[in-house]
Amino acid sequence: MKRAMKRTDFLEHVGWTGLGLAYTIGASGLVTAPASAADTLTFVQISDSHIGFHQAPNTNPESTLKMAVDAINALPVQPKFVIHTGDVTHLSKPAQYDSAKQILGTLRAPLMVIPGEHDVIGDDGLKTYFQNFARKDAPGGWYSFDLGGAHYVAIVNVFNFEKMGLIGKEQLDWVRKDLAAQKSSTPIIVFGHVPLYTVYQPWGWLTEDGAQVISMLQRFDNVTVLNGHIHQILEHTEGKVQFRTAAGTAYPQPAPGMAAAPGPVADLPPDKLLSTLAYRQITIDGGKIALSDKMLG
Amino acid sequence: MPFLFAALIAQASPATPIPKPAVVVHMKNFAFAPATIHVKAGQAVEWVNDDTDAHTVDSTDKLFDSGGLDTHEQYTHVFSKAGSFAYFCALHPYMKGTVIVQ
Repeated sequence: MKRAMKRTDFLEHVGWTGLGLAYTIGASGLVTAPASAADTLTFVQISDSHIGFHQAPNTNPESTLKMAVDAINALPVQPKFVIHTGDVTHLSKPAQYDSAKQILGTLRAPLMVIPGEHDVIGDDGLKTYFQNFARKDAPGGWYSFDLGGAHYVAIVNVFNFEKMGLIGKEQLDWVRKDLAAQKSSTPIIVFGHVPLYTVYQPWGWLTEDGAQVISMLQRFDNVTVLNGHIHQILEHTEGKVQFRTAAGTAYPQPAPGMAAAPGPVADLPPDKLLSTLAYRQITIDGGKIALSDKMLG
Repeated sequence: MPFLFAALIAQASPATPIPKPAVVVHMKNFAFAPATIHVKAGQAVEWVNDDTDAHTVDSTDKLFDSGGLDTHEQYTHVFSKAGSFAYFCALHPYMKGTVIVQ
């Protein structure tokens, strides 16, 4: 998306690009700088709110989601959008969607959502997800858009009946076409719920056909994949692709393989809960992408 | 609301009462225990979620589906025909089990 560049932005821009600045002639005939180099944009990622969960270590995930929303609303510069990367609800129930939307509806910034497996349990869950978060441009649930000189791809990897995560052929074909239209120099941000790479196979923390997308992403200079699902912050790199899993707003899960099973860390001391929950601020400045995880306590 | 109320009553009082479960399968530490069970045709199996995370009981052949089961929630299914019935948890598909009906 192109937007008018303010004079101050322009001066800063010239400051760090020197003579490398390329100009284009816009449709209006006016000389404009490329939007990709001019914009500084922030957005926020939140994940794994599990509204309806009511066990240790968080018997009130509504309150911790509200804390995250209030903190985001208090940011001096509002994000261009907030994306929830799935598991908004715990059991896909209409009442859980209602509670979640009541809290998320107070966000000052526009909300985007992709589903987690807890949001689409059975045919009813899938229907309820689309009733609440359908987008006109996303009949299959997945979508892409451009903003601030970057290209964003929101992938759904929780729709298969027997496998999880799985992207599936129809969506893979769509991703291939979508990415083919992008320049290698365009920063690419990919959203997903389940990690696209194999975090820990015995706990199913992987996307079975994720390698196909990772391979499509390798020709780009700057790629960041943001996901949730495992309720903890992890960093990983494969070639040029940076992976960053996010903390949730409900409860932490054990580090990969460090417990008998995944699931909520039930014996977490109550005063430690907020230090495991976060929202994440992402800044895109020209081609540079910076992430900052803001713990709730 | 009278129609909805009537529907709820109808659901709560099925024509054929569900028999007392012959076997109880626990969902504990992200596994079905026992993973393989044997019952006779006409017998019921009950699944109980002992974990703090949610689980489901989903037939691989889509013959039965518990929906999401919260902590301590249970689901019962009556197996009327002989055969081997594979199932899994849709939230954690590596959790697998089999009901063998004689």
